[in-house]
Amino acid sequence: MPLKTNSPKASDPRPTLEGRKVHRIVFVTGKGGVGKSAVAAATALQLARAGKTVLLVELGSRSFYGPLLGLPVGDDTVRWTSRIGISRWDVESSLREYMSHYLVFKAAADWLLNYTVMKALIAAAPSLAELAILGKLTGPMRHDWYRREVDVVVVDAYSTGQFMALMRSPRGLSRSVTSGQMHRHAASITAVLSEPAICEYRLVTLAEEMPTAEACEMAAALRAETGIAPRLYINRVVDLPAQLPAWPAGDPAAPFIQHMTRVAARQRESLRALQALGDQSDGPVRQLPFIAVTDAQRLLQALADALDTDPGAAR
Amino acid sequence: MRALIESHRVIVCAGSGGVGKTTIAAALGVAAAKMGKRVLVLTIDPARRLATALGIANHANDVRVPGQKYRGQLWAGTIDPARIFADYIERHARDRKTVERLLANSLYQQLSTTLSGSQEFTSLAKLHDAATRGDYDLVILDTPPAVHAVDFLRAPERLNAVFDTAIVSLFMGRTTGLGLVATAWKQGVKLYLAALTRLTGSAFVATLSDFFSAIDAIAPDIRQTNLLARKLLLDPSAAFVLISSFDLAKIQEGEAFQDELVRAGYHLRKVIVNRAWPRWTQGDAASQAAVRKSLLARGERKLADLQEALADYYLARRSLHTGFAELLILPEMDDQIVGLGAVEELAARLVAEA
Repeated sequence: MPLKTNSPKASDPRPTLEGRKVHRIVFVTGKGGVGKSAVAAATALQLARAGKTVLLVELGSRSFYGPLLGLPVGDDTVRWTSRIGISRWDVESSLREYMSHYLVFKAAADWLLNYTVMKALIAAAPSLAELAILGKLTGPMRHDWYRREVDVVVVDAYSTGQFMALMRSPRGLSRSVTSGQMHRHAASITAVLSEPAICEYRLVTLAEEMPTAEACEMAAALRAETGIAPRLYINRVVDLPAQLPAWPAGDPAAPFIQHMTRVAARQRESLRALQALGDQSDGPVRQLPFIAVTDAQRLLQALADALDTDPGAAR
Repeated sequence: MRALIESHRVIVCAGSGGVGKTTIAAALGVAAAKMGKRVLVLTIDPARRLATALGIANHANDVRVPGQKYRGQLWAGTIDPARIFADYIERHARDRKTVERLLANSLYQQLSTTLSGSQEFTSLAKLHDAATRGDYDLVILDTPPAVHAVDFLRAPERLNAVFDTAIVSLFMGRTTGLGLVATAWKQGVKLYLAALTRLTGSAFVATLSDFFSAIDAIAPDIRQTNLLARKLLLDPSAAFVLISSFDLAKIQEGEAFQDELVRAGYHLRKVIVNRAWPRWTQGDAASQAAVRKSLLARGERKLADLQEALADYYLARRSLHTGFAELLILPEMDDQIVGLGAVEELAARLVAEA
């Protein structure tokens, strides 16, 4: 088997970051349908405006940004703006890239990965899939040989339950496989995910009962797993006065006023619930405006404007 | 919608996260029960969405939804993937030791609870069981939360891959074929395991090997269940209903799902665009102008501008093109849907708008 010999030192993952060119990671998550992908893209814009070079990464079986922005998003990074590239990572390509380093000949990596059994394993074995994605993401922090020439990677991550499963997988694996390469990989990934100088978690919700309840549970779960409190964002907040006027019932504007009164109550309730999380949230609860445009580019720019008003958000 | 409920034994509610699948599944259940059906609504309900909506507690067995006065009967069942998997093993493992070894394996623990298609598998297993047992006229499945609607269709394949005989044989050291082929296979396996050990360490390979040899006993049963469930879903008596929402990304995704369903031979009977717009925006241009005028007359300029912007926005959304064949558009409900009364209201609207 043509394997490259690595000195123990080179393959030994160290949680320290000295001497390594590393980048920050911003995870964006939340319940499905809350606008997580839009907030992730706007986060990329926000960071780019602050002068950073950004890689916006999406996970999952289909590209969200490709059709939305009219870009051929895939394995290779495509330019969105001068400072932002977008790519979609899948398990197989992540693992292939990783293994290619350890195997001298690319042909050998291909052979291994094309092997029916390996394909099936990747498709099915749960830990491998998650480790592959997280391993690729945290590669530059854990290996001298791994370079990624960006300042920040913004991850449009899975929604609530799946995201927590992703976050827990390396710790679970390092506990059950107590020695060897896999153990060291898993342990070093866990260390990176818990490093506040590297990782930031943005948790998006809507001012509705279910998403807010899920966000509260998830903020606590994230804090417990990583030790890092997430930043909380209420998305699609309608700018309404503190007190809506009383309106005569038969008037043409009455249904509108009634609806807005309900919206205002929901928004207050959601804000109150999230604020009650206290130090389980990183800083104050942020509110992002409801943006009444259907054009994707305009929507994302407007969202980035809103993120820009948040002092200290673009570290 | 009435005809759809009348003429099917299974309805699968699919769609990407956050579009309101669970609520629509519950409302379809209510509508069917009102039509005189014995109906079961099945869901994996990690956030207790259905339970909250219907006012029931999570329960291992199917529960008759309390407070109903229908011609038929409404039942709700929650799916617990870990428990269903454990049941499988208990039933099909050769001996106690195998059961314990598997339950203790870390890969198994992840498999039974997380990303790997097990939620979909256990949903299908339970769906097949409920639909063929004869207790119900109709079973409605709320598909597990997923990034994309298509993930549901691909999940059985992914799970089948785990239980593939080739992998099990590999780790159990069995050979397939004869003579040269067997020798080549053995040689390949040796190389493969060596490479895997080099990459992951022997402890990991040992865990993998232990896992695959332990599941060998239940693999045929898993494959069989997948096969039966697929057959059930391909039958014309099984209807797929796609739940979508009214934004460009969701519509594009929905159209891709529609294509994939049709290609695979499933029967997509309806696409529901849920919470398309608030009801107050439904009036024509003249009535929106009247609302604005009334707001301005009382000096509410800010609210008038908001109303105008929102009315324009929802009008623009309404004109978004969709390539859906059987489309049903549902406006937003005024209140959040909590309790059987609210679900009944949605059900009435579902049936009325068809």
